[in-house]
Amino acid sequence: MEKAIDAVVLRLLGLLSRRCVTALGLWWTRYRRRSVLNKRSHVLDRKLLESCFRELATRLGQEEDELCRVALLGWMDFVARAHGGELYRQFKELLPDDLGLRRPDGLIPINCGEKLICNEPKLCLKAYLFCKEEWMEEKLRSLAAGTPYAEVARVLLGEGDIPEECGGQPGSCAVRC
Amino acid sequence: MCIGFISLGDVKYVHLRRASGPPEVRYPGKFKSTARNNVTYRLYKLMRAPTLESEIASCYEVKAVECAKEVKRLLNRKGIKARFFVEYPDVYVLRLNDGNMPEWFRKSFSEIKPRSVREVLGFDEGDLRYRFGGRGQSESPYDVLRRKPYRCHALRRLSIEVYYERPEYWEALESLFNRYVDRSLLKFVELDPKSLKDIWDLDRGGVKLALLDGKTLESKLREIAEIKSRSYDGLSTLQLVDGDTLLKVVSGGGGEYYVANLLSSLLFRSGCIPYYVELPTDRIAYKDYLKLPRALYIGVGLKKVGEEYAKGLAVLMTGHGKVVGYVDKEFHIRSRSMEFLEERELDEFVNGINAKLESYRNNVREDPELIVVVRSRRFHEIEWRTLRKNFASHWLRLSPKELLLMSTFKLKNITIGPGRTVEVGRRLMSGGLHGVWLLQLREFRSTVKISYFYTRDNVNLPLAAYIYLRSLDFTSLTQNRTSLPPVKYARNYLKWMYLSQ
Repeated sequence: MEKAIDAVVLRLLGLLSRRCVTALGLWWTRYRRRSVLNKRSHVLDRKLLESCFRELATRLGQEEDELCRVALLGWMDFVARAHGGELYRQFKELLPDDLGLRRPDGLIPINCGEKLICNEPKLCLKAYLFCKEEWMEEKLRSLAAGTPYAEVARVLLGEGDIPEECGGQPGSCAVRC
Repeated sequence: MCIGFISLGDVKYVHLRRASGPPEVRYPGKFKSTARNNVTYRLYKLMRAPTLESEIASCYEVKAVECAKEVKRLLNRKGIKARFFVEYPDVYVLRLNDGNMPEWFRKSFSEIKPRSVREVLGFDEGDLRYRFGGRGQSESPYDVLRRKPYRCHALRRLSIEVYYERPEYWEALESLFNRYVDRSLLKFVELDPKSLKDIWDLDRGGVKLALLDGKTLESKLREIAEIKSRSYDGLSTLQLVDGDTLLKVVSGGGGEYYVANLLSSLLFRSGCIPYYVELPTDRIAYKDYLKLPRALYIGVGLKKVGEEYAKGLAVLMTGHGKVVGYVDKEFHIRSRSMEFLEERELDEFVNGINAKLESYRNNVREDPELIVVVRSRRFHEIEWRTLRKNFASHWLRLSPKELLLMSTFKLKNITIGPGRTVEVGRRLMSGGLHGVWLLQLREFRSTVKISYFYTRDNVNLPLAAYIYLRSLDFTSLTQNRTSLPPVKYARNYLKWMYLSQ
């Protein structure tokens, strides 16, 4: 009996630590923003990440507001980076369409080095998700505090959760140790 | 609607598009839409001097004003009323008649056909989007009635004192606000009613709304003008409302529009930015338009204060609609044309603007991408030269940016068709490009003439700048307005200054 309890406890501890590692991995992709865990992602609880990703994707499908969509995609980006592999590849592939960046002729009219992009905050947010350029981060940080753009910028910079106006952070994404 | 379903072991990335179209917006315009859809005028370019059996317009150069005058007289004698553009004298505006133009006319003139604004620019005013506070993007600025301002120093509550001369004015205002303003917004904008005992009660700090009797507005005009002109802090903090008009609005129609205009104006006067105007970035391939949100706009207004004098005022405004400074100066003018006479005075004025620009630049620690100087009349050649010289030698040397000098005015009763534009002409000149556009936005009653000098060669930018700048007028949301905010603010300020003296 005692052995069985020990096994359960050990298993629980193992799960807990895997959850911790997953939280750490997610924190890392948010902190680094441009990193993908890829080969190291097998140590994470991928099911946990997938469940978070799925909830975000469902919310994205129902979301009308463009800024909220950007915030959701921002979080999906972090989760996909932590998960790595095929999920991340597919996410990257569909990102221009999800952001509404692809023109009817199939072209994506974004030049990641074009500084004028960040004159329009919404375009800057979308372009950042697409390009992940460091100079864009500076522009996003300089957005006037208290504005809806600044709030979404914080999400993309890994410093904030999905705003309450956009439905708040999904429960399944609250991965904590 | 699901448009893609990708299987990935346990996880399925369901690629979903928006469930439906954009949220339905009650776009204003039903009863305010006063635009005449009929085209009354057409533009023609003179190719060669008209020759008739009996008369020949003696023109050696079709692009000369003398020739244009001669041709105009000839057309007049043949019963065709025409006007020409001084800047481009080979282009004529002709009033349409029912029949076709005679053969001799068709041999000499070729029509310049208007094009849709969207075709020329890639977007029009209907493609702009308005971003409010929180989760709120709208197709209409009238959503100011339903959504919190884009940016505001007051986080929880904005208190506005309302001075009423008669209690029924306050009751009318309160009922209009309760009827049309969203509840959550009513909690944010708190109207604080006060009975007006003396007109000088209005001469206090803070944003105030004064509901005055029409008679008081006439009899105490000078005192009101003095209070009003003293209330300027970037923009006047005193909003005047004719109480009798307010009562008519309550009993009549248009209350929603009236309250939206009033609320937007009050928010703006309180230092808030009611909404942010988003360019349709998905529609515009031309990246130059992206300079507009980060441009600095300088509106120049003139008011004649004597036979040979005018007071000039420049209002500096950001690309988000925030007023950041004023510069004023008195000028010698040619009494009828209102053009500046002395280059030195203009030099001083521009230097003043330059100093303000410098301080703005230091405050925001950023160079504006583009400086747009706007006034309501045609720029005189001296003005263009002086402004360019000053900007080029001082400002542009500090940052190699661009300058657009633009003047706009309404051509009353001339219509070229709603949503249409015509390029009257353009020519390259020393230091830049000069050109003239005619523009009639969808709800305009008449055409607006836009004359410009631009230090770059994008002919469409002035047109886009007009549409963008017009949308930043938080003191009037009316769809058929043609004036541009910094010029309007400058002229209003000058009007009150003049009335108070």
